[in-house]
Amino acid sequence: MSVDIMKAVYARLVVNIGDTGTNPLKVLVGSRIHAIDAPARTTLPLAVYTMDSVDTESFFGANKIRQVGNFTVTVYAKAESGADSIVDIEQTVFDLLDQVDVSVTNHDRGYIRNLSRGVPELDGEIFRTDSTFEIVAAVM
Amino acid sequence: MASTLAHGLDGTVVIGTDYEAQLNTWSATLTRATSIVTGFADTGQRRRASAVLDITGSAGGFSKYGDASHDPTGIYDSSATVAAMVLTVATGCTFTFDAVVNSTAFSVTQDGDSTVSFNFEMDDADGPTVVWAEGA
Repeated sequence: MSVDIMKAVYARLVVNIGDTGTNPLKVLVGSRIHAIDAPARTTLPLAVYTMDSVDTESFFGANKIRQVGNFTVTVYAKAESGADSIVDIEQTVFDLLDQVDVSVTNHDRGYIRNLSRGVPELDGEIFRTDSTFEIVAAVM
Repeated sequence: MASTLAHGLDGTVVIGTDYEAQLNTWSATLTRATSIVTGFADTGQRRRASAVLDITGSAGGFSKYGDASHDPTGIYDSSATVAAMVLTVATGCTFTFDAVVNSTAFSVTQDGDSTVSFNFEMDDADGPTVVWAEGA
């Protein structure tokens, strides 16, 4: 897997958008967006993104590869905040990542789309949602 | 050179200059027509092969855009051009011949791939030039 792909996912998760130039996900989770795992005792809510797999497809010619990566964005929130709260965060993740072009360093193009929406699951005293996405990046 | 098993990554294909795409597969079939010449007294089928060789096949991959050379013009121009084909199995193992591209198939799926394949038929009076790497 190329680290450029993980960086592209993170860059999109924290990108500033809209007239206000702010990132709606950072606002909702207090900038607590982490790769793979969150530090212990991190305040909720927070978001964690994890690469699940990266498949490659080769083309004739040297170093011409198309990579298709699957990743999951998991949102954690306190149960006492209610299901509405975490659904709003999941919606923000979806809006940020579904059907968007992204820049992937050392690749000629990157594209992210949603594969499945996250639904609230109660796990003890927290709610969690798992949303899955696909990122396609090509070296041509 | 020792006998070496070819792998797909050794291959490549050129389809003239009017059928640009990012290709990753090709196939071709070399064919001779045969005629049955079985006699009355024969107890097994007899056939004769034509001296005329034919090649048909296809090459496929992903469509490209953003550059003038990426336009697959050959298939919809008013006068279809003859494509100079070079099919490579491995370095030094090639079939070179002229062909007409008689169909181009695009497939675009909103949540998937955008692929294209070119089907070709030989248009070469003296057949293909075949080069095959062999050990001394």
